[in-house]
Amino acid sequence: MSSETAGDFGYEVDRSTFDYLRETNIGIPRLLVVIRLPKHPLLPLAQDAHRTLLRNAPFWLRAKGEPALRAGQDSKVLRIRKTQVFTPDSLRHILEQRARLLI
Amino acid sequence: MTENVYAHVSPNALAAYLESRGWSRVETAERVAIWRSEDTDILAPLTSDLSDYDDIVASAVSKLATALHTKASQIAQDLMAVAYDIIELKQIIGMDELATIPLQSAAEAIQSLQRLALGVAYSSATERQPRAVVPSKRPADVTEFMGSIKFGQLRNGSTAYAMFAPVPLVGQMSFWDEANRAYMPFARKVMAHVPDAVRAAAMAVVEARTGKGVQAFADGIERGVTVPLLRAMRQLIRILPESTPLEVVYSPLLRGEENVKRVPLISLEADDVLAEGIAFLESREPAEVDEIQGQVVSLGREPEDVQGAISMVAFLNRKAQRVYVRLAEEDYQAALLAHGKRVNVEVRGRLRREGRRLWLDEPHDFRIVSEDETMLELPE
Repeated sequence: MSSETAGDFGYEVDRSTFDYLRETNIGIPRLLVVIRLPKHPLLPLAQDAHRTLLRNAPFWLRAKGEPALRAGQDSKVLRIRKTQVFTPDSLRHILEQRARLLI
Repeated sequence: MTENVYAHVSPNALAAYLESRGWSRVETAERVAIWRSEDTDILAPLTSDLSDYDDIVASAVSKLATALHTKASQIAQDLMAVAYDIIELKQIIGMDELATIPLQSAAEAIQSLQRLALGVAYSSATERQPRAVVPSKRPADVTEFMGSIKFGQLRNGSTAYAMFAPVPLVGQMSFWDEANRAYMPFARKVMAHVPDAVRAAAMAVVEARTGKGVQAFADGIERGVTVPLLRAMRQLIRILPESTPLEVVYSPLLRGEENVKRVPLISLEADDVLAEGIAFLESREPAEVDEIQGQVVSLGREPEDVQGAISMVAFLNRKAQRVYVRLAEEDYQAALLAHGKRVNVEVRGRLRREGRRLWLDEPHDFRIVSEDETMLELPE
């Protein structure tokens, strides 16, 4: 995880993961889902007698069709917009689009 | 069944199979389509060069297996077979656990299947005027069919060998229905005819032995008995264990049909009856007739003979060749005339090679072809 701004944050992937995500000649869409967690694993969790709360959220990104990395470049920092929250609604929207083969 | 097997399933085979099992295409994109049946959606690729092709086909096979209450391996096997009607040789005498067979048996297996295919194809192509002996000039359908069939292991690692006849993936209708015969692709027509023809040959053997004699073979011609088929049966009964039926397996696209036909072959002891049948059918066949057309290029008359020998240049198999013909007096005079006028002549007979010379034996129907009728061009 690196370089956070107000609108997005960076997530570094290695070359082979990036190539997998940016592939265009595919039949099944590829999404990257990143769950942001603080360094201390228990911190985002809060529980009481009525609820379990998981703080922070997963975000999603499509990198299909991104240009290839330069020769010798081993990794790439992907910029993930904070509006791309991976919620039940966004997942439903993605699946509906997929069912009509729009993505 | 490993996943890489799915790389060999063509997109068209998967689509045809989905359609045959009741799925309809509901969405189509550039590379994939969605097929739907009741509440099962299946993603199918439209092209096989996708990098996730194997994964998509594997997922489709798995969903099909669940929806059809069968095993994924069965679906995969069906998908590999949809494009073919097959004649299986499950056991060959002398086969070991690695499925190796004596070379002699392998040669016999291949030749017998080739003869069987030729005999049945010729019988299918000449339904209206059935003949027992296949002429060297075959109908185009037969030549095309013979060029399309394949031989190999039934499936990877299988201990059975088979002849594969490619059948179209679309338009596979019920083929036991006589009304459909006119629209049936030729390869399917041939493969549908195989069990009947083999049965007719086996029946002819039984009838020949029980009083009817060799005439039984002639009576079987219209039901598919031909000389190549009888020769194939002589070989098959030598390489297959006694009482092994011949198995014809039709494309799994024919759902609801009886996809497997097992036809009993005759016993090895009937081999001599088959041999007699072959000799009889060959003896009653008229000499093969060829029609040639070309220009008379030389005339000669042997002094001790009233007949005159001429030679003419004709196109045979698209090649200009000199053919020698010995003509009766009247035809010889006509040949003289044609030679003088440099017009084409036509004559029918039986071609025979003698050394380097090609002779037309038993010439008949000799005539001068008018210029309007001339279809042949002389060699440049």
